[in-house]
Amino acid sequence: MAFLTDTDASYLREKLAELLVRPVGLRLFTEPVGGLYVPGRRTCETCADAEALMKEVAALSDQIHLDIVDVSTRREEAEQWGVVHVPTIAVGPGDEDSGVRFQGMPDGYEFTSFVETLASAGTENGHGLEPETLEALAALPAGVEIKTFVTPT
Amino acid sequence: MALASPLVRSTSVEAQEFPDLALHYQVSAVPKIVLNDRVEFMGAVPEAMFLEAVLAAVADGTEGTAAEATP
Repeated sequence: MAFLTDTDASYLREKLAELLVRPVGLRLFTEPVGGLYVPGRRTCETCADAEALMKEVAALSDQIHLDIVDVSTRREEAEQWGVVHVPTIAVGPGDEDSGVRFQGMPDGYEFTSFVETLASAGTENGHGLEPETLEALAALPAGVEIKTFVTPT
Repeated sequence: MALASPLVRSTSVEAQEFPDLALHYQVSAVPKIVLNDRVEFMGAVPEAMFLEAVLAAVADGTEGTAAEATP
């Protein structure tokens, strides 16, 4: 089942063609849902949907490069990217780790944020921040980890 | 901000899919924003206010502060 309607897909294809001036990397950390039930282990209920949605998104523009990382076989890479939960999608310009993550299926209202982030990553100075903010960020004495809790509705 | 600074990392967490995390961070309404596990606020805030929260999150000796924004 497609997540995007034909109308949405063609609208997004047109918008992304305008907006994306450089490649954007989408790295989906996922785990295949097998038939094996392991007591106590949490199975990933949205991994398959997240993968299907990311494939649809990646098909919208040649500038979007999707890498599907199965954490059960590429655990080192997940550790390197600091990913402990699946599905997690890392979004960044090119192959860079920009530190932007979407944990869980980005659907509903969250899909809008996801597409906006994608467009920002594919644009020079796409963050849209004020010069004063950029100045303050450049002088940060330590790292900042932001968690934003959201729901699809 | 994460796109603008290598020191900033930002994760959007789908609260219903990760109830353990939502419980741990006492998420009773969304969006809830938590910075460095010490500063938190609810709702969308203007850029300058968000920056204040970022700076509070890295300030020495600052205990968690909360800024409440009306949606």
